[in-house]
Amino acid sequence: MMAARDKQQQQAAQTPAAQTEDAAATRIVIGLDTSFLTREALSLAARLAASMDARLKGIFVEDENLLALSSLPFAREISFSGEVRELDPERMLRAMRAQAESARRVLARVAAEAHVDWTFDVKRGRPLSSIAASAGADDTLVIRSTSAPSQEVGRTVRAATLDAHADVLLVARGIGLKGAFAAALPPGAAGRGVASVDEGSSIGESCSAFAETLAARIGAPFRRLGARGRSPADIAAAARAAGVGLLIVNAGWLGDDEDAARLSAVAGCPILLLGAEREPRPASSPAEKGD
Amino acid sequence: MAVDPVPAELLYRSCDLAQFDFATTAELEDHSGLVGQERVLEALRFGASIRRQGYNLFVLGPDGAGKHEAVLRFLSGVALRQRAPADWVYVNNFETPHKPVALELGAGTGRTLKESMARLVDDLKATMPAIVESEEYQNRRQSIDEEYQEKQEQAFEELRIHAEAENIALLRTPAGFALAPVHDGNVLKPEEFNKLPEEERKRIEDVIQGLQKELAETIEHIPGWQKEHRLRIQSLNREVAEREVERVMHELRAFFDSVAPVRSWLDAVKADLIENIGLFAGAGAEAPGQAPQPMQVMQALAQGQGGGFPAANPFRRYEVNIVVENSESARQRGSATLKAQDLADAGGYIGGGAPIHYEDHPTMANLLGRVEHMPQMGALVTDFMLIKPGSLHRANGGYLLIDALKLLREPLAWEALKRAIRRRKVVIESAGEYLSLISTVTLEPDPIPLDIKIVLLGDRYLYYMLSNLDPDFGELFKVAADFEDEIDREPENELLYARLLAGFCREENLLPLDRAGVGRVIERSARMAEDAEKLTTILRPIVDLLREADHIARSEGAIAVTADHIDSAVDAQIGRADRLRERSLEMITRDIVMIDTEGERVGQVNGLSVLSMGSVSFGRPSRITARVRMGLGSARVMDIEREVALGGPIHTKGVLILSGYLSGQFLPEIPLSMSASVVFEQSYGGVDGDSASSAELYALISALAEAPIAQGLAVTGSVNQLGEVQAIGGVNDKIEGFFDICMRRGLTGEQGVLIPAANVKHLMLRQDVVDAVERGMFAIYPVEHVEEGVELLMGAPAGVRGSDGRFPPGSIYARTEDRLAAFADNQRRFAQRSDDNGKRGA
Repeated sequence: MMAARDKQQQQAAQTPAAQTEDAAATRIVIGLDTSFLTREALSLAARLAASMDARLKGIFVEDENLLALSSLPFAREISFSGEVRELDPERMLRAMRAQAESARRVLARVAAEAHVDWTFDVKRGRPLSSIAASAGADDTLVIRSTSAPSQEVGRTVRAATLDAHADVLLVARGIGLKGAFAAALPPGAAGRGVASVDEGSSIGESCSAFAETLAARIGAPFRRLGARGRSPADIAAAARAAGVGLLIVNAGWLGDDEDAARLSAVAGCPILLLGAEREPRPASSPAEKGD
Repeated sequence: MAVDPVPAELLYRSCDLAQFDFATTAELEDHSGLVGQERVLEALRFGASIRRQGYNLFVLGPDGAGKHEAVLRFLSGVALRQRAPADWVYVNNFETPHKPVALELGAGTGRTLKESMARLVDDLKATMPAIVESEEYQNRRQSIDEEYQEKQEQAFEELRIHAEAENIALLRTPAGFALAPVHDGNVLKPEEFNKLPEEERKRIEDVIQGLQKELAETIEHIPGWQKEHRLRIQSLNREVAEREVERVMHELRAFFDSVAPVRSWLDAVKADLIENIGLFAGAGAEAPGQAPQPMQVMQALAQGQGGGFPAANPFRRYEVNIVVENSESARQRGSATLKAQDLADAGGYIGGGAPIHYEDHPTMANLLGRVEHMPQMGALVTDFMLIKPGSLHRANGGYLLIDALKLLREPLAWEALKRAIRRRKVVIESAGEYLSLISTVTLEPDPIPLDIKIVLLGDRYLYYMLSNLDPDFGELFKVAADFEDEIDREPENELLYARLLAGFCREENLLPLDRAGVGRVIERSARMAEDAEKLTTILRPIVDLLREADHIARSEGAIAVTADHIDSAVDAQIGRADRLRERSLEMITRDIVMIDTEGERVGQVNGLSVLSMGSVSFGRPSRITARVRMGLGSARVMDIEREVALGGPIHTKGVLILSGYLSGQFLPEIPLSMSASVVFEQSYGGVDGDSASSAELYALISALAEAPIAQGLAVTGSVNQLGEVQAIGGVNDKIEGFFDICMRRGLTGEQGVLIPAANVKHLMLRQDVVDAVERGMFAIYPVEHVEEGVELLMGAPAGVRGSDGRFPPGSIYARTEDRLAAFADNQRRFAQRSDDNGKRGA
């Protein structure tokens, strides 16, 4: 484990920014802006990447809606200080690029701290859908749903898990991340547990096995939450009551678009949705990585 | 009136070895006290015991007398019985960082406070992150965050719902918020918008304008919510911190509970820890501004906050700077020494009790302490940890020894020391700032109360100079301990001296002295004292002599130092420094410097002087001549040395005394009319002292009486107006100086030296001189009155005035008076003739 980390550290030092994409490698994909909440989610994603020996991919999306807005004749922006300013496309684009550069720097720093490889990409479109479109079958998408409507979040989750067969780590609005996921804590430090939703299917069984391995890897307690005869709301309430730090769910078990966001909000912890119709990858254990 | 020469046994007083019952000094115990210094001991006892303002000591005495060791030896006994003074530490002043707080703690507890504070910081570093990461804290924190976020989101959600009802979207831009018309979740593009009917476009713009106002109102509330959120977080942190800080400080506060200043400082520490608990919570905790940026540091400096090195180590403010440590281990450091230098190196203690410190380099900073600075981002910064103690701090509660000369040589140091004694507190001052040489951020540490006994050590000249010139000196140094230069050479003191020598031999790891060696050192000591009846207390040259004799003895494989080794060492000392004396002798024997040692000459006598250059001094004869003639109604003796500014005031006084003697002795009833000149021939340096005044008088009388003086004799001694010959210094060197010349030219048996009779007891002459006297080849004549000298030098009695008021015919004084009478008569006739010529002319 340590040797692998050292190797990653060396790689990060040798090629801090110009990382080449390796399609075959496991990736943690996260959408970036420069807000505090995104930074928190980025930190979580980095820790997750480190614990899974995965690569971290940051995507900054130039929001089409904002570009369209800035072309409208009456477009105005009200700053955080209350100042009203006129908008134009050129200025909007410049601000977005500055924001993208800032996000890249934050990504580089966070990745270096977590000793993980990283890549960075800029796309244009709608933020969540662009990120979902970037995800592949080996990826885990980290979504910190803040201002986006829960339906849009749900659509994105479904698109990523069902269509792209990617995993999604969903952190709903209002979920604090500090201490929620103990991967960054020193070995042996007490963290909140990892739980899986076992609905009785073979996929659900694989899902639990993955969760158990991950819990062992990060030194957190594991528990299995039986889903038979229980609604997502019941499961979420049980997870909250048990003080679960990370809930792992088979994405296929969820119903409508808004289920995922609701589950995360009620459980009070992030949810890792494993891509539908795909065997979850085993979380590598120290013994396995013991080079 | 014939004068007998001094018998040989009085020329050198040998040490009576029969009084010693030891074979070598190895059998003797050390003498640990002062020999013959009862007055000093009494002064030290008084000065050390009186605890009043201004009763500091000045120990005065000649260089090399062992003042330092003697004072240290005495004080070590006194200090041992006194209790160890308090520890002093400087700590941060949390309210005004540029005024560090001085805390007085019990001896040895300064380190306890320092270590406890370090442990406290370590404890908090370990526990606070865990507390911040704990579920309880996180839940409470999350609840506050959520409440804040909910409040914000609710406000924006209401606006968003309101906007969505009008098909308007609330969008987050890189720098704020914006409102835009949407269709199917997508913002209308300009071309789509432009296709809308005019009224619809107008309506949308109006709606957006209205919503913008609502948005602006919502945003206006954000700073208030943020402030409220921040305060709630702070309150939570404070609550958590208070509990933890109280827990980790409990033991420390209990330990120092009885020390009020420490207790109140710990209260300030607690408040600051709670205020800055974010420092301990680790990177994840809420601690705005906890890692100061360069600008913040610069700003703090500009505001004169001192600030120190928060950027480098934010925990430095909780450290403790021990400036004085009087723990038991610290008090043992100098226990093995009585040497001032070793004491200075050891840190100022002699075996416990009160501290005794010797300041070898008494600069202002070394006395008062200093505030050091370190460069940080181009500026010089400092904090309480950079306060360095001075020797006044270290010796506080005890004794501080300082060499007065060194102190006076250091700029500002003397005044600084006086200020400290007068104010009874140590205020750290910087010489650079005092002289306005530097100007940077600095500190004003709390003054530390001073309870100290200062012991200045110096020679007498310094003591009298300070007494005369500095009015403060008498007020602040009321106790003088005056070292005797000499002690009586009595049997009991000779034995003590032997024990003193035994101690030196052991201390310096020298071979022991045998009995004869001890005797020879004692004799040498008497010679150094210039008195056969005294012993010198200036021990440094004695110790040097022992070392050198030991060197010779060891090179010969001897097991003890003998009298021969001492003699060899003395000869070697003289030999090494003999070049000037040798050159002087050579100049005389080659007749470059004219000195007659045979025959007779009118108005010419051999005077004797001592040349001193550094540690070397030797006697040298000088030719003194006198010429006389008729003068103008007075007895004026012209001192040529004085006329050319080569004569010192004492010499001039001696010459003027001659006029007094002549006036009183000859022709008391009529005015004298004599003009005379006296000179040291071939003297090109300055002449001072009156030891040649008798020789000058003999030359004058010889010139007046036209009586030749025997050139085989030399003369030393001063004379008063009554013609009494008075004692002079350097008698041994002077005799030996003339003897050496005579010896080189060959002793005739007619040669000798006239010395004042009072100087006979000072004679400790070289063995070769004593031998020559014993053989009758050289003589030392003790002279009490000028008339005796006249008879010895001029071969005829001076003469005593008879009942007729006249000296016996043919006597030297009769011839002198006749000559003076002739001058007076001639002068009267000369004056009368001038008057007659004047009247005729008129």
